[in-house]
Amino acid sequence: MKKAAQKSFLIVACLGLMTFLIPSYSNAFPSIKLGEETELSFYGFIRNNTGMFLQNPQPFAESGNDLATERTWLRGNVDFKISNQLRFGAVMQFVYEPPYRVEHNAGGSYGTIIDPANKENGKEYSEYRNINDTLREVYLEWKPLRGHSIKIGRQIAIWGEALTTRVGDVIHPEDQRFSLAFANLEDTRIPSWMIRGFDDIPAINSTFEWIVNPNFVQDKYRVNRSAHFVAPGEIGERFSINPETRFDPPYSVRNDLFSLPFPDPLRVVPHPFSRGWAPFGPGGSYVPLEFPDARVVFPKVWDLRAGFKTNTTLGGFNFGFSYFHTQNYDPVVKRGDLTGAVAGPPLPPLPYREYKLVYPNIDIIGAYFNKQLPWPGVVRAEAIYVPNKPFNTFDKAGVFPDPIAPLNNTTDRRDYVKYMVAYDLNSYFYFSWHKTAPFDITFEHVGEWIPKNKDLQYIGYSNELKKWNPSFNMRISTNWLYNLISTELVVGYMPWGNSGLLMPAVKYTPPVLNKKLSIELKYINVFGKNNFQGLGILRTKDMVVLTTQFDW
Amino acid sequence: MTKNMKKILALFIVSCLSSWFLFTSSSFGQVLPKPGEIIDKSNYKDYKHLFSEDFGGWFENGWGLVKPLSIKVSETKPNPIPKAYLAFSEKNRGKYTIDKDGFIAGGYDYLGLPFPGVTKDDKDFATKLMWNYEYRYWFDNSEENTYVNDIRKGERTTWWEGRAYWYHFFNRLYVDPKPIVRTPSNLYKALRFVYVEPTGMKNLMFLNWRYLDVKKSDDIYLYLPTLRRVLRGEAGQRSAPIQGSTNSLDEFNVWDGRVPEFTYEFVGEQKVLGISDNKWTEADVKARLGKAGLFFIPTEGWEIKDVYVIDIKSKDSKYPQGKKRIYVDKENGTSIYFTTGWDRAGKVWKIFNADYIKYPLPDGDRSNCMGGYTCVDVQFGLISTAFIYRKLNPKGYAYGDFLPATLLRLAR
Repeated sequence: MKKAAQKSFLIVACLGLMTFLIPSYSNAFPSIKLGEETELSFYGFIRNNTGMFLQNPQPFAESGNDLATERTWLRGNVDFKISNQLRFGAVMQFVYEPPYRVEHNAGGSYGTIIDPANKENGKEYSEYRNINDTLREVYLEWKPLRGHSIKIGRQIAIWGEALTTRVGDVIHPEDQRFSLAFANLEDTRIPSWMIRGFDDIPAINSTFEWIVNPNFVQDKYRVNRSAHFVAPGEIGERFSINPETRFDPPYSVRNDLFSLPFPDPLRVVPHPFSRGWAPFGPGGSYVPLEFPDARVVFPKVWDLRAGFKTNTTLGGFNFGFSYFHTQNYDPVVKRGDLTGAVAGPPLPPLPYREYKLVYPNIDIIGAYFNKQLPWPGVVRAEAIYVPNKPFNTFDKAGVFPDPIAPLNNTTDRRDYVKYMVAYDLNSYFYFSWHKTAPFDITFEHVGEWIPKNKDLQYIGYSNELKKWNPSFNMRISTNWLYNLISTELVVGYMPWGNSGLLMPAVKYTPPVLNKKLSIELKYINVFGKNNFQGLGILRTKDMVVLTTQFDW
Repeated sequence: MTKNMKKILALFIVSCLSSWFLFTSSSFGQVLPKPGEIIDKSNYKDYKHLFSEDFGGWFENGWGLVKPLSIKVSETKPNPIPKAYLAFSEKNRGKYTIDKDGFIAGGYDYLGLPFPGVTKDDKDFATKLMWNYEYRYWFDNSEENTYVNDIRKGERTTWWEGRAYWYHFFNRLYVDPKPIVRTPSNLYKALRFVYVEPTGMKNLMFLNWRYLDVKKSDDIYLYLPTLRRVLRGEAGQRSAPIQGSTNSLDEFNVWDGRVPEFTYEFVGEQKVLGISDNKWTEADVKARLGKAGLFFIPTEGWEIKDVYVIDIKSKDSKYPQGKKRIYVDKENGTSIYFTTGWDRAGKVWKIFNADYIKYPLPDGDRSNCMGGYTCVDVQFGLISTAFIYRKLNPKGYAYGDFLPATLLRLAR
């Protein structure tokens, strides 16, 4: 009954939306003037991403076909200027994605699932049932005094200078489940409830921005949502990272003697879960002494997030500082106590141990600037410093077998720095053979620095995090025939794992319907020398994606 | 007097008169239309001396993109600089000069026209005229609705709409504080522009700062709603087209080149037909947006105007336009009725014509502000027509509304 009601609601909502859209398809949906200061406008888009994997079969997944994505979005914006002092805004979104054959049976049986809501018969990527998905933004903006404004509600706040990745952009977690580089950060950010203030100080060319962000969203929306980790014996989700498959004891181990607990005895168990395994027999195999009972401990509502950012323009520099107290948006795994429960058939009667996936508090201190150089080009730079950032560690205290190993020895805190330096050369390359637009080029160098990186684990792999991990990204773009066709090429390279990304795209925006329709074809290639280092953790997921969007 | 002497005297008088007729005006002896007369395909060649070079394509075949132009000539009306600004500028008369690099020498304080009353006999006339154009008076502040139609060969007409907010920090005559608003960055003026339509460009904004120090490039900040980021634009590159548009920053308002970056040559004087008070209303324009087959240049109100013809060349040898010729109203030095731009190979590239609107000022005078322009990219086959409707000198502007961080605060 509940399902029927939900389905009926969805149909009625779509019909209602079509009533709005159909009359407006060829002309602008004009703003409605309700008074001298009052104006109401509606706008949005319908978008479809259709993508095909180019490598078939997909490793670590079933594949009856190559479909990588078939995501349809409907987004609507309301912008209501009530008066010069008061404004209301809202963004609603509905998304549908079908079940994917390549993920059939993903969800696993090993119990390391991070998101227990996965695999709801293909509904996990669709967004129409949960208010946290459908009501992306809703806020009131109030300007009590000139130069001061407060925005209250669910919204998106962007900090930072980097374009190819997130450095100073620390306010929001991301939903990384449904996309690999074909949706931009605007689409993957998870909006937050917050009170956000802006205070201008014109006498010193400055603005002060502050944010207070209680965790009012449902728990799983308070942190990054990642594609389900592939665990031994299970199918991965489309955009999950490649699993650890190397036998590298004691960090990643396997049992190749018995058919239990895994149907596939060649699958490895990564660290830290490998801590509950011990060597067995002369052949180097390992067997479990316990099973993990993984529990997610999300940040609580009262785990307040708050911070501020300054912006000043002086001497040609535009610069500022920031501070934000939040939680780590990716979990670290804490090894806990035995739970007292024992596994039943068909598993061997071994005890369960609690492993908690936690999101500890962190403080992020940032600085940034941009400046026009005395020669052509703009330089941008930013850096964040996270003192005592939590990491998973290979700390070997309590090596196997050690049922009384000290607790919480799978995580540690270390100082962490991430920085970006970029050079933009826009409009400089303008040629007589291409008069309708210049070529724009951007170079970004991003680096991560962990001064004391010993024994820190890279995600779930048997790799130590590097002390310094640089990447180099470049984007070149232009448009043709006065923006009838636009082209861009994004190239990223990370020396670690000799890995990177190549992403050419071409977009066609025909003049029909006043350019409301656009069609983009994008090829995404992720390369690396192996599956465990750098961006190689996402290699083998080459795809081509066609994005069609209709703006209204 | 002998018969021969009489003949010689008669020949001398005739030759003097002929020489005077030939050299006093390039239009003298050429036909001028009367008020009420229609100029169209059937007769434009008789009056081609009243338009910029190559403008004839509008009448001949509408450049193959629109229906051929047909215009109605009106009575010529005066079009002076606002009296208050002329009076304000009088203190500068004869005070400043031009140095070897084309800058104003003598300690110009950025208030008033730097060279009021400059005449064509001045050796630096063209450069001084352009400095007067740079420091012209249009308004203290302005809020503008801009509508642009784009017509390209074989395709549907598209259009976009935007809103502009100008804040002049110097030469303020009517809105307090006047005449100066001191800013920490020593700005001369600032422009904030936001795209309203189509949806794909909605809420895209840019902020342009122009400094008092003419040796400093403008600073430009761009807000991209798809990224929700403010990006720093490339200040020095003003010759490349703004996204999808025929215009570069130097062609904003038909001509907005930074004076010291170019050289100027006085070519001569002539008469042209231009619109100094366009009567098309905002409603007239909105009814035309996106429609094919309609006129996009105002067809009425074309007056005979006396203009100076100035050639402009960039000091940068890589500047994409080899030469630009502008036709500036002699009476006010601020209304540019036509421009023609040639590429580096000497081929005609872009042809602009502009019309103006007389906005009332609080003291009863009128300010002549650009009402719109049309640009033909002859080589590509695209026409852009823009219409600008302003609310002149609104109150309530603040410097804080024109900071780079303002773009994030206003962002949607």
